[in-house]
Amino acid sequence: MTRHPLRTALLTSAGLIVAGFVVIALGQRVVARTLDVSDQMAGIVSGGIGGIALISVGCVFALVQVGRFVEDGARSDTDTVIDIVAQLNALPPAPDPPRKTSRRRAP
Amino acid sequence: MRRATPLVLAGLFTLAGAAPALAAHRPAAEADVTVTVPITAEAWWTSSPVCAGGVPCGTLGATPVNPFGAGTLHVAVTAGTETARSYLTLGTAAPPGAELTDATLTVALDTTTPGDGNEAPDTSHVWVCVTTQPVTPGEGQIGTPPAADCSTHVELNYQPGAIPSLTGDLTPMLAVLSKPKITLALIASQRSATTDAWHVVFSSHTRAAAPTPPASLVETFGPTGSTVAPSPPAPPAPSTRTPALPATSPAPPSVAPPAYVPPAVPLPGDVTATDAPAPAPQVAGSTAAASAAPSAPLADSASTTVGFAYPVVLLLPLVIGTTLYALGRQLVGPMRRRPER
Repeated sequence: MTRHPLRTALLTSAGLIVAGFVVIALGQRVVARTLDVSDQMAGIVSGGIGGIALISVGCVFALVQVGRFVEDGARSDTDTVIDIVAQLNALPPAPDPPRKTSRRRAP
Repeated sequence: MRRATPLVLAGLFTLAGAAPALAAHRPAAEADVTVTVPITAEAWWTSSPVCAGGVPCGTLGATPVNPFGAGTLHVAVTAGTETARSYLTLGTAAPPGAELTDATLTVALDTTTPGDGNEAPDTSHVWVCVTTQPVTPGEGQIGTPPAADCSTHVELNYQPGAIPSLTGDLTPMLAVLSKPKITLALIASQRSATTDAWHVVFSSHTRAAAPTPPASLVETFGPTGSTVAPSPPAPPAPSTRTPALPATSPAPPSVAPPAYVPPAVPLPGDVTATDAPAPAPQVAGSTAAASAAPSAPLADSASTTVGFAYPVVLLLPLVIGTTLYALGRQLVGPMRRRPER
């Protein structure tokens, strides 16, 4: 049994995305508890933009890792084909088929 | 060397770097802290300008001038109509994480300098309101002053003495005073009677050889959550005199600037009279000096507290670094199925 190579990547991505939503929720709390725009800006910037950035990084990271996994699978298939070809080349050459003797017509 | 060793070492180094800052951080305002709030700008407006040379201010070429001493601030009422008001822009004095629990404004009155306009200060009714609009430093400015929000206000009380003063407990205004970039507007009470006529004069921070100290706002900060209850909306401070109007008359939520229409002053090159507001008077040595350094604090704060309100934020670089390390390691690592150990 093998550990799926995407497990760690997807767990990391999920963690980043969840952290982004948590940060957005915290920012919303900061913004909602005051009417002072200068305080609200801190919540908007740190919570809103920071949360969106975390979610974006998580999504992009998952996309990149899945792409790498698919690419790795394709490369693996290619390697398999190359190995098969190499094995075929390593076989002893097949005997030449018998030549047909041509008969010359008598002048 | 194991793969996690660099990560552990990076974490230890970051913790070692952040430890002094964490240890040096003092929890904000464990005890009450009293701070004299710096006043960053001062200005006063008038609705009864005086022009140079005795020329009526509506005359062509008439230049309004400050008839009073340089560096003085004024609040005045004539025949029940406000004729002068002053503004004090406050700087930042709040220690981080502390909560404003008390504020007292003291305005020492100049009653001795002749020619500054002082008149019956003991009968004055001065309200302290706030405005968030920008205030241009200057003296004897005409035109429309920044609108003052008097939905929460305090009336100053006259205190006789060697240096008479107007004092007021601004506790009802703590909520607005906690905000940044607040300007106090010292205006005449909106309950002035038509018989009221008074004029209070006090020194600005730029006044040379000032006979009285400038206005000062002393704020007390306590630990967060030390405020007992939210301040009630605008109960005016008890006055030592009988108000000109019945005390039951409701206070207006917002006080409009004095309805003063400046005299028409032709613009350069314009031969016809216009309704354009007259330019602010240029008082020699006062307006220019005030505009030269409008943002410089005129008074230093009594105490300064440095640090973060939430020192745990110092660990944020460690979290970001760890996350970036983990992401980078996964991005450059092999993407192959590992056999089970």
